Amino acid sequence: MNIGNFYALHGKIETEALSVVVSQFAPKSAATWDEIEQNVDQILARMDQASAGFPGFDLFVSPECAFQGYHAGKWSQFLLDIDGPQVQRVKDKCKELNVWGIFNPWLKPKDGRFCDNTAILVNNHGEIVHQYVKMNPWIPGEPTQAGSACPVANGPKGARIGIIICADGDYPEIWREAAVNGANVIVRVSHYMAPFDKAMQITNKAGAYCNQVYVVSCNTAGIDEYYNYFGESCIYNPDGTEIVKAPTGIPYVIKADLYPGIIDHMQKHAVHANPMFSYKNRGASNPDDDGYGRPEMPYNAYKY
Amino acid sequence: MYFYTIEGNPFLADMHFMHKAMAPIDYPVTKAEIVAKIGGEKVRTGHDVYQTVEELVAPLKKDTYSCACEFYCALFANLYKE
Repeated sequence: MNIGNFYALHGKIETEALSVVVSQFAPKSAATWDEIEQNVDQILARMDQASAGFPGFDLFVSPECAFQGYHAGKWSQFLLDIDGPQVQRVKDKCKELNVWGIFNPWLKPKDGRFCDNTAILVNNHGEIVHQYVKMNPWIPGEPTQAGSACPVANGPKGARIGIIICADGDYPEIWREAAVNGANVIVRVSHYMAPFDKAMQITNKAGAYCNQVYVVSCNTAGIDEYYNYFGESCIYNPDGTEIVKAPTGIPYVIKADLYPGIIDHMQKHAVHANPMFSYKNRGASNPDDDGYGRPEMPYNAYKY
Repeated sequence: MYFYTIEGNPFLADMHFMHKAMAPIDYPVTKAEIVAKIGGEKVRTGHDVYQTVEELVAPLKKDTYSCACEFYCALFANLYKE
């Protein structure tokens, strides 16, 4: 897994195993509240399936838009309340199964704004412990309000989880932001359609390798009135290699055991391939800089 | 250290032996803690040359290291000092 490092990785690694289940499926493009409920039924059924197939798992991940789909003309009429019954049902299921879950309700903000594309992390007590609003909406087709931060939450088994959503992953800075904020596992939920199948894999791998984190990618698999959602959900090592990958276009469940403590250890002990140090200390081994490198931010791309 | 500096018959394993010596070190760590823990360890840095870890880290300008990458950057920076 750690092929990116020349030097031996010293020290004793202590870590728990984080058992992650990723379920790819297709929601209905809901045009009624009844269809919203059918989509929630499907999420809960997938969680039950996970409990049957992978007893004892820790974290369930579902795709972007799994509550609502993305109905071309009516999606904005079916925004959810974070305290509403649909979200409550997945919270209750997490508590019932004693698992954590990642879900993506499109929310009507209580302050009257239009819509937040929001990912939530629910703990095994049924509590929302983390919310993330998509920082890079898929403009112009997704007119949600861009979020302004990518915080990280403590998850089970030593995981520090950063969540990003679909088009977010096309921008390298969001991966780095989650990693700098402490993520050792970055979860990307998506409703990604053809012809961007190769792009999703490339960006996921780059996100893992460039930031030395596990990446968990969960994508819709199916079709709606507009698009083919290719699935291909995948879990990646911190060197960008695939651990397990779901097939194209069909409902499927993948599972992997991740070891978040390895990431923490690598960030301390990796000599080469330590991006969290090296990007902030460019050229640190240059004799003129005495091990300090150049800490200033030189990139015009980030000074706009 | 003699890393890549002996023309004709270079000694290639100096960093290998240095890294072996550093195996007990956890991070973050200070230079003083490195010296206290393994300062007396002898590192083979040439065909017939041995230096202690204390001698090797003494010239480093930094006193604290958050991670292995930071330590080795400081070490390499000193390696190429005129």
